[in-house]
Amino acid sequence: MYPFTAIVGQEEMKRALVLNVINPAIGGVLIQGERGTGKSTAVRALAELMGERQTKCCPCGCDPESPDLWCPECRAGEVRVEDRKMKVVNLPISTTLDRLVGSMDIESAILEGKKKFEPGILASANRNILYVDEVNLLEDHIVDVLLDAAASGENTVEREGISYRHPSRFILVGTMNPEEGDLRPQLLDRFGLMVEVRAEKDRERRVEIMRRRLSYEADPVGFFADFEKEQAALKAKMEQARVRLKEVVYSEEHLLKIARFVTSVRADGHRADLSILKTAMTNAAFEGRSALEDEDLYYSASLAIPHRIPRDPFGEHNLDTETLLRECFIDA
Amino acid sequence: MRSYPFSAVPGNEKAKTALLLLCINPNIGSVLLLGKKGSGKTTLLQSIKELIVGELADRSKCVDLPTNVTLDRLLGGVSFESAIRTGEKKVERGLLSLANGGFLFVDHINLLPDPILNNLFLSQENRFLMLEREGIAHREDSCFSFFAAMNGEDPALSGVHLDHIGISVFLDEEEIAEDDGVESNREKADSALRMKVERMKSMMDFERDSHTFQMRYEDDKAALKMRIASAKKLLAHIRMTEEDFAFVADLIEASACPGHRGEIVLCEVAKAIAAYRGRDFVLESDVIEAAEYTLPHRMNHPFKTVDFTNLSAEGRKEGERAEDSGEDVQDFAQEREQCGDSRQSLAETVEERSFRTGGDSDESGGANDFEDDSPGYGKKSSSPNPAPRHSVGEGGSDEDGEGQSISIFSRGTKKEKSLGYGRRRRLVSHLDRGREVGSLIPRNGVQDLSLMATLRAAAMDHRPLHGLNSPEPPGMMGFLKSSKEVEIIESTGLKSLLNSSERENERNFYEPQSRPLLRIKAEHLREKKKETTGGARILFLVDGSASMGARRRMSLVRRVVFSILGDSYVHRDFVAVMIFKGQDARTALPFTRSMERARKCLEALRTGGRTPLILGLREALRFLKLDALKNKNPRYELVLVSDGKNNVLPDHMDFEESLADIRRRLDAEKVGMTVIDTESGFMRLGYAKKISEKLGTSYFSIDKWESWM
Repeated sequence: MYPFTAIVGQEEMKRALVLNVINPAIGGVLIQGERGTGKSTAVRALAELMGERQTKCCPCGCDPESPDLWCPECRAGEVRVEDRKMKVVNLPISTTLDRLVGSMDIESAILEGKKKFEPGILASANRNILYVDEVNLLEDHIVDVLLDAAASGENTVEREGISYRHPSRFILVGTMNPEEGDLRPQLLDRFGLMVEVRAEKDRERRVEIMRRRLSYEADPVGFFADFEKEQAALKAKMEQARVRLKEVVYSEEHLLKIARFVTSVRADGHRADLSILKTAMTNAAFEGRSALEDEDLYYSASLAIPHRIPRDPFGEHNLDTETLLRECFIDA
Repeated sequence: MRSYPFSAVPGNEKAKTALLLLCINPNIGSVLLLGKKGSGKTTLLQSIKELIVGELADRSKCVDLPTNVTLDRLLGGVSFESAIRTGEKKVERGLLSLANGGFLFVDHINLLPDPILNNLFLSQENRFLMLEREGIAHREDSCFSFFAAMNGEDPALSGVHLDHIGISVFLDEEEIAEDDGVESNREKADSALRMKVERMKSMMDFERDSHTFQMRYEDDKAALKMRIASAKKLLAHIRMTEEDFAFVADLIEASACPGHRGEIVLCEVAKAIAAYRGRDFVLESDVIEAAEYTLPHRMNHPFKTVDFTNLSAEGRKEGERAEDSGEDVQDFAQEREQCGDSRQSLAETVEERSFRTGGDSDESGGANDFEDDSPGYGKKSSSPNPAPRHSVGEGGSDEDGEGQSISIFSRGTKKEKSLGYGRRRRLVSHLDRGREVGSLIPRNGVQDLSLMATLRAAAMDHRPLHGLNSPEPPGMMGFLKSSKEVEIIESTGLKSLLNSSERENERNFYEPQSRPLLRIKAEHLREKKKETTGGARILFLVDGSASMGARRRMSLVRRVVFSILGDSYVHRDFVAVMIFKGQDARTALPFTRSMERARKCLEALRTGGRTPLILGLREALRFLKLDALKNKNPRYELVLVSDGKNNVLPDHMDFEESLADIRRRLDAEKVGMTVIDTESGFMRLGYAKKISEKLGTSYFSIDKWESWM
C-alpha cells in the first residue's frame, strides 16, 4: 500500500481525512476534483494509519462498550472481542440493493432450508469508513437507502422474508468529479466536510510525484520502509489527538461566532454548525492544544461550509465566503 | 437506542403538537413532517417513538418501515422455513400486521415505491389487509397509525397519496433576520442566534453522554405522558355539535378540497386539540387550528401557508372580490409577495389548487392541455402548434397564467393518460437499472433472475417426503443439466454455489451433509420486476442574456415555464435548468423532481451579457449525454427558452453549420425538443422561429400565451 505520508501536497484533503479518523463524529469528507489527483490513493492509504480498538467479532464489528448499539448477534449471546483496526469499506457504484443492505443467505436457504441473514455492506461499514468512489454516479434508489442508514445510524432490513436490524454508523467518504453531475443536496449535507483537490501545478512537485510513484512501483516494500518513520510519527500524533480531544473545551463565544457565521452564509439545517465545532475541536487536539482558537474555527468552517450554501451557477452573486470567514472568525 | 428526548427538541411547537395529537387520537391516521435537510425530522421521529414506547404502545407495536421494504415484508407472506421443513403453508406476519393496534414510523416516506405506498394507504383505510400470493389467501385486521417524515425539497408525494395523510406540518425554518440596525430585527437576529447556540450546546451534551442527557428530561417525559393519558380519557367524551359540523363544512367548502377525507380528519384533529388543551368540547379556534394541520396538503400546490381564519364565510366574499381584481396582477414579484402574504385570499387558494388539479384534468379529457398532436413522443413537427384548446376552469382561475398548467409535450395516447399521472406513471421495466419491486413469471426466457422469488416458489412446491432426514436426491442438479437454464444460472450468483455442490454430487450423490433441501424446477424460475420512473427528463435551457432582460418579459417567461413545471409536477417528470449568458452555459439545477427547486432557481435568475445560444445548445446536449450514462432509457426533452438572438459563435463555426450539427445530435441522442420563443411586441425578428424550423422542433410562442390572458 502506498504510504499516506508519501502523498505530495493535497494538504487540505489529507488533513480532512486525518481529522475524521481521529473523530468519526465529524461526519465524513467529500473529495471533489478531477481524475488522477490522488483521491483514491489517499483514502486507501488511510487504512494503515488507523489505530486498533476493541471490536466484537460479529458481522457489524460492534463496540463492546456500548451495549445499546449492539447487533442481534451480540445481544443473543457471548461474542468474542478482539483488537481490530478501523477499515475502509468500499461501496462500488454498481452495488445492488441486496448487497448494500444485506439479504437472505442463499446457501443455508438451499442446503438447510434455513432463513439466515447475510449481512451486506452497511453491516461491514459499521464503525468503519464507507468509501464511495464517484459517489455522484450512484443510482437514486441506492442513495435513498444510504441516506436512510446515515440518518438513523441503523440499517433496518425488511426484504424478501428477512427482517433484521443492526447498527450502521459509518464515516462517509466520497469522491466525485463535479463535471460528471451533481449530488443530491441531502446527500451533500451528510458529508461533514468538503475539500477540493486540483492537480499539482508546481513543476518541482510534479517531478517529485513522478519520482515517488515510480520508486513505489519498482519496490513497494522498500518504499514503504522509507516512510516508516513518517507513518509512525503521524500515527502517534493522531493517537495523542484522540486522547486530547476529550479535554478540548469551547466557550459560549465560540458557539456564538459559529452561529453568526452559519447564519450569514445561509446554510440550511443544523449539521453545518455542529460540523464546524467538532472539526475545530479535533483540529485543536491535532495541533496539540486543549483550547479552541479562532484559527481552528476559521479553518474548519472553510471545510464544512462550501457544499452547504446555495450557489449561483455563474458565480456572479455568490457570497464572498472568504471575507465572511475572516469577518466572523479572525477580525471579530 | 439513543434517541434525543422529545421535550429537549427546541422550537418546532407546531410539529411537536401534531405528533402528540396523533398519540392522543390515533384516528387521525398519520402525521407527516416536512422539512429541509438537517431540520431534525429524523430526530423528532425517533424521539416521539421513544415517548410512545411503554404506556401507549408495546415496543413490538412500534414498527419501523425502512425504504428498502418489499411487499412480502409489508403485508406478510408464506413462511419459507416452514414450507421447506414441514411442507406447511404458514403465513409469516408482515409489518402492517405487527403494527396492528400500534404505530408505524416511516422516515423518507416519499422514497418508498408505489406498490408499497398503495398498500400502506389502502390497508390503513380498510383497517384490514388482504394477502393473495403464492397460493395463500389471508385476511387480517390491521389498524394502525403512522408517523412519517420527508424532505420538502425532494420529490413530493402524489396528490392521491397526500390525500391519505392526516396531518402535515412543516418544521421550523431557520429565522433569517439580518441585523440591519433596526431594533426589532436586531432582537430577532439575536434570539435566532441564541437558539442556534443553545441547540449546539445540547446536541454536544447529548453526544458526549446521552444517558445523563436523557435523565435530565425524565420529569418532562413523565409529565407529557400524563398529559397524553388524560387527554385520551377526555377525548372519549367529546362530541361535536351541529354548529361545529356546520363550521367544518364551511371551511371545507371554502378551501375546495376534493373528496371527504379532509372533513373527517379535520373533526378528529379538532377533537384531539380540544382534549390536548384539557377541554371536553370543541371551540371554533380548535377547528381553525385543525384546518391548518389537515387541509393545506389537500388543497393546493404543496406546500404553502394558508390563513384559515380568512377562509370563514366572510373570507369567501372577500375572496371573490380579490379574484376579480386578480387579473391586473401581472408583475411577477408582486404576485409572489401576495402568495407569501399570510393573509392569502381565497382566489389565490383556488388558483393554487388548480395548479395541481389542472393537469389532473387528464381525467376529464385533458381540457387544459394543448399539445403537439403527434402521438409519438420523439416525433417532431416543424409546423406551428395547433390552436390551443382553452379551458374554462372553475372559479375562472385560469384567467391568470399561474393557475393553469400546460403541457407542451405529447404524453402518449388518451387511454394511457387517464391512468397515467402522478407516481403511477412509473413503468415496470426489465432493464438492468431501477429498483426491484417484485418478481414476475418470465415470458421469454429468464433475463434477470430473482433469486429469492425463485427459491420461494421452489419452497412452496417442496414436499418433504419423510421429514428432514429423508434421503432425497438433489433434484436441482438433475434439472439444471439442460443448457439454457445453466446459462441463466451462470449469470447470477447461483453459479458458484451450484458448481461446488455439483462437483460434490458427481461422485457422492447422496452425501448427506451437502444434500440441498430444495429442488428448483423450470416453473419456479422468477424474474425481477424492476421499477423505473416513467416521467420524462426535461432540461430547460434558459436564455439569461441581456436581451431577455426586460422585466415584463422575464416575468412572462417565468409564468409560462412555471405552468409547464406544474404539468411536470403532475407527471412526475424530472427537470433540470441550464442557463446561458455571457460566454458560458452553466447548469443551474441538476435533474430533480422538486418543482419547488426549479421555481426557486428561475426566480433567482438574473439576466445580463451576450447570448451564446449555440454554445448553450451544445452544453445542453453534453449534459444530457452524461445523464444518459446514469439513467438508461430515459425520455429526454430539451426546452429552449429564448428569443433566438445568438451573438456568440464558438470556434469559427458557421451559425447554419452549427445548427445542422445540433440537429444531427438531437436525432442521434433521441432528444425531443421544443422552442419557446420569448419574442413579443410589434417588431419581430423571428429568430427563434427560424431556429426551431432548422432544428425541426416544436415551436411555441410566448406571445400567443399572452394574448389569451
